[in-house]
Amino acid sequence: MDSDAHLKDESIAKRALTDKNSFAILVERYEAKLLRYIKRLGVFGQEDAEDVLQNTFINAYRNLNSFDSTLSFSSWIYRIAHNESVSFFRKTRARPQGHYVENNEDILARIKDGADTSSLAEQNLNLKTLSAALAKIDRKYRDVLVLRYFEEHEYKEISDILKIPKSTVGTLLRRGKTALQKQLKKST
Amino acid sequence: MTAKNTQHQPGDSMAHKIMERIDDENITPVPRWRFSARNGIFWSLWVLSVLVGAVAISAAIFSLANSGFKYYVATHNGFISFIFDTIPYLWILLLTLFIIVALENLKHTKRGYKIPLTLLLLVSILASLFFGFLIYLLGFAPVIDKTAGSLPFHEPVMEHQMKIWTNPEFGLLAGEITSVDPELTSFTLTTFEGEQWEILTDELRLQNEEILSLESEIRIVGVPDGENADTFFACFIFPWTVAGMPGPPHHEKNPRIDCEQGCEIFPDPPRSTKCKDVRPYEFFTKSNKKNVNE
Repeated sequence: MDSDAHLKDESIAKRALTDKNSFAILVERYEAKLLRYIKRLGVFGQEDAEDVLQNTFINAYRNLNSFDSTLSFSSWIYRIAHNESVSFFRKTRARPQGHYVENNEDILARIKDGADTSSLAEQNLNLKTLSAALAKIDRKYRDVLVLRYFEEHEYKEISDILKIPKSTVGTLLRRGKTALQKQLKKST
Repeated sequence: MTAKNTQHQPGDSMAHKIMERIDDENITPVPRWRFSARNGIFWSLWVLSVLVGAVAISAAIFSLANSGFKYYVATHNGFISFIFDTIPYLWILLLTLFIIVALENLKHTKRGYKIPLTLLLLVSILASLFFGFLIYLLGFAPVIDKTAGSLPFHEPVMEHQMKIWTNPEFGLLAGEITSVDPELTSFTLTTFEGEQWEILTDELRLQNEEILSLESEIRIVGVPDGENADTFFACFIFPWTVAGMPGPPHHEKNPRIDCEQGCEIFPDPPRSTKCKDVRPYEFFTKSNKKNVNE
């Protein structure tokens, strides 16, 4: 039955507390985008990324009672995926190997449009260069840049995902773009 | 896709893997009360941190109020050395530490992360300040300061003041008036360290007499008698009051001195040269003249 297709994530999450099979719907809805997000954070290997994704869903199910209805379910599960990725880097002591930036010209366009300085917008930006530059900037800047320009989240959602004040999101984005610009200049 | 249909999904689908793992490992959602309790703990830790900060503030106020600012010209070589000697380092360190702890706890609460850091800082500091003043006004600060004296690197402020004022070579004495000559030409002072001094009153003025009649504990700026050990010329005397003690300040009349019939033993003749050599002579003489004229 497709009646569940119209249900909001938040309603399904609530139902999953008493009917665990409902949780599978949320897994299907989010697996593709969360996998992409986890790879963009730098968990490059497919197997590693899928492990992190599995842990994300398991932890989400375990912590379902902590889901705050003032947040969107999307922000909440993205937060868990972010934390699981960070744990992965800590456990494996791995550094992000580069960042999964698929061939999507829209991403380049968003970054250029969002640039405060014309130099970034004018640069001959390509995805490979962008990926390499992202790997070199501070994680706190990378996290907000990925969420804003790759995952297209709003400031409020980024604030909820990373658990930082909304004003800090703006500051980190500005500084992140400056840092990214410096890295891109070095590579040209 | 409905929940029922996931049972027919290919075995290697993520949804299938997750549901299988949930069943195999018997994973169940953590009860809601655990999350509420965790949130409550962080809030409680914030409150505790703010209260510890308040304790530090009350002790710092006590320390500053009893630093002896009025007499620094007599006790220190200058204002800068007085400041460095007075800054309540321990309490500032403790306050800073616990404000940081308070902020960390607040950030871990359910919605604390949404509040900008500057606002969190302001709220935590203001809360500590408010309760700190309250603790000070209620008179608990002396106990806090004295208790902290058990720490190896902290000297309670009153003990520190007692040390400063038990320095006859530097012209400073403080203690309790334990006996008085009937004609008030001298009195015996027992210092806080138990030493007894004969204090000669020739150099004192009428306004000092009031202090002598009202206070049992005093501080003296003067000159030791080079010829007789344990004898001291008092040039200026001041009450030994402790700010921040519980209860209203009271002046207990010194029963050893009775000037009801008038105390003309302290006329205002020109001073001898003894007190003119006392370092803050000009400062205190001007202060005394101002008090008399008011």
